Amino acid sequence: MPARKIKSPFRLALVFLLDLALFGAALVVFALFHHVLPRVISENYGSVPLDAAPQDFSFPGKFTENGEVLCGEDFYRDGGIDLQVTTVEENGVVYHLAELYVRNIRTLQTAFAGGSFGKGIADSVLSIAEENGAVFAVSGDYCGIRDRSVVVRNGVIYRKNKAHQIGALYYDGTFRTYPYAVFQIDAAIAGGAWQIWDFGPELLRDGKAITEFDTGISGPNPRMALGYYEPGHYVFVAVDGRQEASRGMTLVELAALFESLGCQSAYNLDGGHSAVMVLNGKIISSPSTPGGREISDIIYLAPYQEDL
Amino acid sequence: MKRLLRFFDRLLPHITLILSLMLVTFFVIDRFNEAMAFLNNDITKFLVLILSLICLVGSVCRIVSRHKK
Repeated sequence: MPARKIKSPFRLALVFLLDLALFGAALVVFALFHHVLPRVISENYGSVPLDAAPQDFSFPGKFTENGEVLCGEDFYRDGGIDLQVTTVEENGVVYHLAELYVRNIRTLQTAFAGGSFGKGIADSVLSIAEENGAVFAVSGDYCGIRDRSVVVRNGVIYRKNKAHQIGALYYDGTFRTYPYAVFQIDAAIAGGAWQIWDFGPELLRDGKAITEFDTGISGPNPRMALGYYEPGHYVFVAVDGRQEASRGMTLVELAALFESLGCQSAYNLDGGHSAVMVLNGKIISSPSTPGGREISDIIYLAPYQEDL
Repeated sequence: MKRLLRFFDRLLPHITLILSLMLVTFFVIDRFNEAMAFLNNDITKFLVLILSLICLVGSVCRIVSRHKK
């Protein structure tokens, strides 16, 4: 039997180095197909059956008369929108509360980067807001990064396979959150879903803060979340984080904040580098990277028009 | 045929190594950022399938070769 040739350790190291280089190249190729190359998703599920004219919500003294538009550094008012932003600094955390009243649910819209739903199609919140003429905008649930999630936007059904806990805004102005196992897409469509986000988790149950979260994102982070008071009355919270001035909020802290605000339900949206709040064409939050991460979708307020 | 088998015999461990490293990386990233769906996507599912098949073939080859010895 011939003696086995023993290769030098140098050659063996070279083989492993080559494997490592191939591993790096494989990761790059994966990233390219996973979230870099744009790909429009064109599954056609149609639209949610909605009435042409949504219900008008009445909040005396909240909207301007004759469609007059008033705006400043921290507010926007017109004939159908009343928005007031308050910046709060407490316990080493800075957050921005955008409390809003809308006359008509159609003013609360969503938009995709480049106008298309798909993977790898992303833009900054500010750019998407400008493209859509938004007076106010926040980052959405970054649905374009995933292969699975329910996506219903402005009453159009883009995708139906759920992935996480769900937040659904209905045409009658109500906003409900659902645990994964409870949510039924067909029931939500039949109930008149106007927007459905699939990110979460839900933060309140019967108005009380949830105190335990089974997710890897529960630590202190920049946050974006939506709270619901009553039909037509909502609050968006943008939490600055990962910076000296603000460490970010844990999900437990965020849930406690929404309970203290008196919301009925609240839902966590995509945070981290994605969390950006824009008012009147300016970023008013402090994203953890300049301008925030480019993402696939935003939630925004379109200026009120009577024929919306 | 023998040369082809030898070629695969040499190649399979490297593919296994690279795919395993990729999946370990995705697992770690997924712990920190579930939303990016590094594990729960079609490409990763396909990679898991490839890794499983390679492991299957590799294991059968190894068992047969040990049996022959």
